[in-house]
Amino acid sequence: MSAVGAAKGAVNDATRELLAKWERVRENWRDAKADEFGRTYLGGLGEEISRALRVMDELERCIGKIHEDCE
Amino acid sequence: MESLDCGGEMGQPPTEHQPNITIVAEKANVTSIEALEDFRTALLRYRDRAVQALDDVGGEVKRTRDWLAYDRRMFWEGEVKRGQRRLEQAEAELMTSRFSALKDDHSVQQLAVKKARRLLEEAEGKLRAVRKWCRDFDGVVEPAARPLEALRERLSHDFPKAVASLESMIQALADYSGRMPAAVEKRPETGGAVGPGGEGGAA
Repeated sequence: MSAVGAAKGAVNDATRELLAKWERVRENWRDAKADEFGRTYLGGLGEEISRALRVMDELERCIGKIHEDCE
Repeated sequence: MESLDCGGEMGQPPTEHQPNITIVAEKANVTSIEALEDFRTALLRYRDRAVQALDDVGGEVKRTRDWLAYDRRMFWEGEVKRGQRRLEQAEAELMTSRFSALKDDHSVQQLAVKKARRLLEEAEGKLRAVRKWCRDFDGVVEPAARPLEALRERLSHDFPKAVASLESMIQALADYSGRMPAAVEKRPETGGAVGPGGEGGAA
């Protein structure tokens, strides 16, 4: 697996774990502050990571093509 | 699980150590400080893992650029030169064979010329591809990687703020419950410990 492919897997796994942990924290933290914390710091993280993974996909393809053309 | 109604201001702190507390109030409803502490640690680990992944991607982009510009360019330039010499030699041998009165069959020499020409064309094609990628790299690969900077920005700026916010929350709850908040491992990149209430060291 390329370094970009490995990085993609690492980011994907780490994000999945973090958001699952956040769900568990929410079971113990139920107030307006928790809502605000989630909105401010974790809101849109999933989408941003999806965008980053798409960028990494594109980079992986591009670097793979460079290797194929120039090896 | 005990429930404390603190209202807008917290009442008298409990006198004995309470690992899990419930504060039910207008603003705070937390049933486990440990859960918050675990999440603070999870945020820090997440940031480290994600930054490492972004660094790995950046490193791969840079390595590919260097590989193209130095390794591949030199390799294929060398192959083209070797191919030209091979072709010249094969053509010279074919010529010698044609002028030789002793030989009517030049197929071996002809095949050698054909093979040398094919290898040279392949090397020239590869060198053209290397030169093209060298030219295009900064305009294609680096802009493709640029959107990742938004994520890096978030990890560098928002995540330390999230950790600091969580820490002040943990500290307030710990102060109230009379419990010592758990320390977090030392963060070498910040040169300080990210501990309870350590907002400045959370980056």
